[in-house]
Amino acid sequence: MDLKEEGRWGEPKGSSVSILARLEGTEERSCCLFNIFLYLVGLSTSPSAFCLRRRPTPSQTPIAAAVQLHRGVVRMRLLTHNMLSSNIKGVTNGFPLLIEAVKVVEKEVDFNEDFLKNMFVKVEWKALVEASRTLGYTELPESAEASMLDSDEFLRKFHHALLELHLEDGALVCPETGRKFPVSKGIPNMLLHEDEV
Amino acid sequence: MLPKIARIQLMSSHPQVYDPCDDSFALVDALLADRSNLIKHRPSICMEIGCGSGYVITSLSLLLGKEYSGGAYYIATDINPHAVTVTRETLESHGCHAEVVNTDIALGLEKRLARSVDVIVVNPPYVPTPEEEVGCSGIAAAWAGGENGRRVIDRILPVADGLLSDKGWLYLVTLAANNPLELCLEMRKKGYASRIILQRSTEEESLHIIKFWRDSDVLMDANERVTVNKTGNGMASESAAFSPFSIWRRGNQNV
Repeated sequence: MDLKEEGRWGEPKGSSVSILARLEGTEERSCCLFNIFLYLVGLSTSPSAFCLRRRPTPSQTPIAAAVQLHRGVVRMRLLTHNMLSSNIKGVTNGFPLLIEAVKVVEKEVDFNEDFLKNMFVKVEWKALVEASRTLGYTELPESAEASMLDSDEFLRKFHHALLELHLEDGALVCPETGRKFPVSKGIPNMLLHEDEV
Repeated sequence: MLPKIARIQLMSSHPQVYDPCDDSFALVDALLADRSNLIKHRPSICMEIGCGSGYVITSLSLLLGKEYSGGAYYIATDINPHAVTVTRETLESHGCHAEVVNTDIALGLEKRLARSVDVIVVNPPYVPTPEEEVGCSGIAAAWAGGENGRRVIDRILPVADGLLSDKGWLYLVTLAANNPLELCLEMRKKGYASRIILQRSTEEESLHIIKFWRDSDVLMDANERVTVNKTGNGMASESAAFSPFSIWRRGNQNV
């Protein structure tokens, strides 16, 4: 960021910037540019009206942020496991990755039928069934088809397996080479070493 | 009633992670300006490549928001392990969900998400720097773009092309020095129409936010240009030139 701030590769200053030269802080400046744009196209009644939106209110102080951090922690869900594969050079079938679970957490997530229907077409069902079994959930049927989405019972099970089982710590293992991709604090690390690319 | 975007007060940070700056604000402002289109677009998978502090992916998730009942699956990637942690914290402090993956561009996701992602947002490392700074560990990777600032952008675009669904949209932050004109032409060869949806001159740089989308007319038009210059395709050429930018581009080609 420092390099950008110094403007070593900077462009000539735009005329709109000079109007705002008295404002300090990039946040307000950026905000105001957008306000002026809205003002000019007639969407706003005042060029400064929208500036208020980023000013801190008592409930938005850093202290409030720290408290919120401890709520609603989501880790790696099986939906994401279903989207990952091993991309190591030479590997032809890097999907699905095996799961080595060290710590698994269950978390309640809002139920959204439309979302589940959207995701159903993207999900590789067999991989989801195997992954959920690895994490100790055995309720999913062996196979599934679109007509089953009409069943509330099926949707609840699908929802639970897809979104509520979270891998917090462990590893994803390439089925072909056994290479481990670590999952730490719920974040998978899919980076490859130079000789694997 | 303003749509919500990420709040600076709730942002997490780390010395090794790029804080939101003019470029991030420009991208989010462009997304806000395009918000009604995004909601109509009904994306089911949204992705940010190079999420850094998480300001953009959090804002995207908030501005699509609850009004969009379908709900999207959000994925954010970054090569910097500190950045993915900071993004996770920023998302959590805003009560948002996105899946965060520590990877290079979309490594490990490309196969399963091929032709599936409806919206990709990218604020790439675009600053022209010496080549050796590109992809180094730590914060410099957040801006170091090598020659013309294009080293990383040129790697991201083919990946984005592979990921985008048929209706997919790509929003890309570029600098005047990155030669946005050339970028649009390259994407045009792959069948993408493009439009600069926001231009902003800050104290240091001239930013362009480009939106790309697949367009069969553009692909046809480009192919026709390459193969035979038919006399009867005048109308097709005109219909592809629907944005002011295309006209400018065509003007340049004639010079």
